[in-house]
Amino acid sequence: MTQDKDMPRLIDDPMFKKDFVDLNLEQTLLSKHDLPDMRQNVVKAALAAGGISLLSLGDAAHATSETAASTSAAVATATTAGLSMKAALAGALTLAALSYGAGRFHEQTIQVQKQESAEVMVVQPSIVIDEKKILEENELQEIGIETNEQLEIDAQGSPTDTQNVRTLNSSDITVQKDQQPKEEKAIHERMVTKPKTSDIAHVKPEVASKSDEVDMPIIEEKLSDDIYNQAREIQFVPVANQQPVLSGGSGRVSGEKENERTAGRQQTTRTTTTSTSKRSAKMSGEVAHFRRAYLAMASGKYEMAASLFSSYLKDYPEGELRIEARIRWLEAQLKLKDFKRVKEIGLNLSHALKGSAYQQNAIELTLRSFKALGECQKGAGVLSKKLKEDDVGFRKVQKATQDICR
Amino acid sequence: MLGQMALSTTEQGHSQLPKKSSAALAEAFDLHGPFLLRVVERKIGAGPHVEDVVQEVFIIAFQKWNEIGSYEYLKTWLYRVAMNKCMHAKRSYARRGRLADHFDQHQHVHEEHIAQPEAEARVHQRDQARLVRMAIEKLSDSVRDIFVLYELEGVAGKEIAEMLDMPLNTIWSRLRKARGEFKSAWLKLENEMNTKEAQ
Repeated sequence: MTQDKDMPRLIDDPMFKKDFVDLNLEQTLLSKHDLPDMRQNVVKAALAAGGISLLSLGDAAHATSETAASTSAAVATATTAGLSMKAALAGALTLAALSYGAGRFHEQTIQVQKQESAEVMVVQPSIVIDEKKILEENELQEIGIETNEQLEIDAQGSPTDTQNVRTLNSSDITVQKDQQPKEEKAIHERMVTKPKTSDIAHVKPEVASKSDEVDMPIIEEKLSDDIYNQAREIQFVPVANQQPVLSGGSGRVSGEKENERTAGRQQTTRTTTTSTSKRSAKMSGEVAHFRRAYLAMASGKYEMAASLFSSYLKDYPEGELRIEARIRWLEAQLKLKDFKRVKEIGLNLSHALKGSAYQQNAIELTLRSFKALGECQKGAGVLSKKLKEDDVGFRKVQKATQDICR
Repeated sequence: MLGQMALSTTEQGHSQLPKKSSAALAEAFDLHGPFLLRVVERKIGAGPHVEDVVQEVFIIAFQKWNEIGSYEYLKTWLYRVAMNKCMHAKRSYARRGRLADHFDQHQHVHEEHIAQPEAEARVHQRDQARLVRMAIEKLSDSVRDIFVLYELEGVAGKEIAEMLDMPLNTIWSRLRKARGEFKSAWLKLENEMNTKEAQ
């Protein structure tokens, strides 16, 4: 029989204390750590090592460096396989168009397997098609050929779901390599010759950060709007029986190879993938913008950071990092000693961010601005009043008051 | 504390972690950082490497945030990663033969910090605290973690079972064994100390 109830603890046992020792004494040997300082360092190091892009992608992508964000994943896939950038885009877009022609779109997932690389995530090409889910018609219209794809870089390097999933290997897509622009070849070479390491987690934050700085522009360059638009202009040939032919562009998807591969299997409706969507192409610009602002902040250029965060919020009012940007902007303003402004905006933000993990930051920043004006207790009162109907927020104010106003 | 993380509940009744963000990570640090610092320090001894290990744990947590899943699992997950990191750290220090130096060095620092010349009682306390730590270090590996988590950290039995991936009954039986080992280690150390004082 399992003993579910906990035993009495020795630490609370007076007899044990009397006969032996008070275990609480051991606590006195523990080091005193500067927790707020460490907290800040942990977050900074995690951001540097994990890449800011991860913030924006959140649930969509698991990656270990900024360069491995979803936007770049498809490009990396293609380049690893020796395909050109345009081919990668074109191939994916064609598949989407084919499916559209057949009248049945399926939600697709691209799983990019992580190869061990410290600086650039080099990924193996595999397009995994989920036949279970069907995209809504209006979604397709809304996004053109981009779909509501789930782009996932599998950090474990293994497919997450093999049931009802068909995989198109790199051999499924052929590309006339001689059409590959030299520039892209060079980039491909550069990406695949990166040094490898067995454990990304062991990469020092500084190293990861450096590599981000080096590699990020390349990815962005390749995903510039020009290339994207070029790929979009490709003429799609909707074919019911899926003989994928790409007219225009620099890549060609071979239907023969696909047929060879699936020979003997039950024919299923082709599902499609788009590896690089308009959304992800946009995202890279957004992340880059945020990153610039963040780096300005981290290097102590608060004025520049404030203006970059501000322009970020203007350019990407619906951006996934907008809340973070608002908080950072507020923090920058606090550093610039614009306390009154922080106070006013922070109050509203604290209220608006009800239920969000960022609420704590907004509250703390507001309270700090009050403190700087010598009105910490007053600030706590104002905040409490403002958040009186938000229990969680109210508790956060109390905690922040204890930490900041003591 | 749990309410602060803007949680949503899954079908299994577990609270989902908030979306990956620096704020969520900072909050996770507030919740579990001090606990990890204590257990890591007990595992590998005091020193700056404790903060390094904990920082590394949170970096990994941030990288694999989406894999952790539920809020309830976060502490267990962090603990397991921390213990793995401790093992690596121990090995690397042992290889370099510096572990013992580290322990001694920091023990000394603590002694200086704790010893207040004006209070005799304080000195006695310090000695007792050192003996407790030494007795814990004498526990066998299989029971030490359980003893530390249950007796010093106040973690519930069920939670320890999850953290160490063991049946609950094993936890209780090992805890009893740990208590026995601790008592005998304590008595032995106390005797040694008394003998030294008498000499």
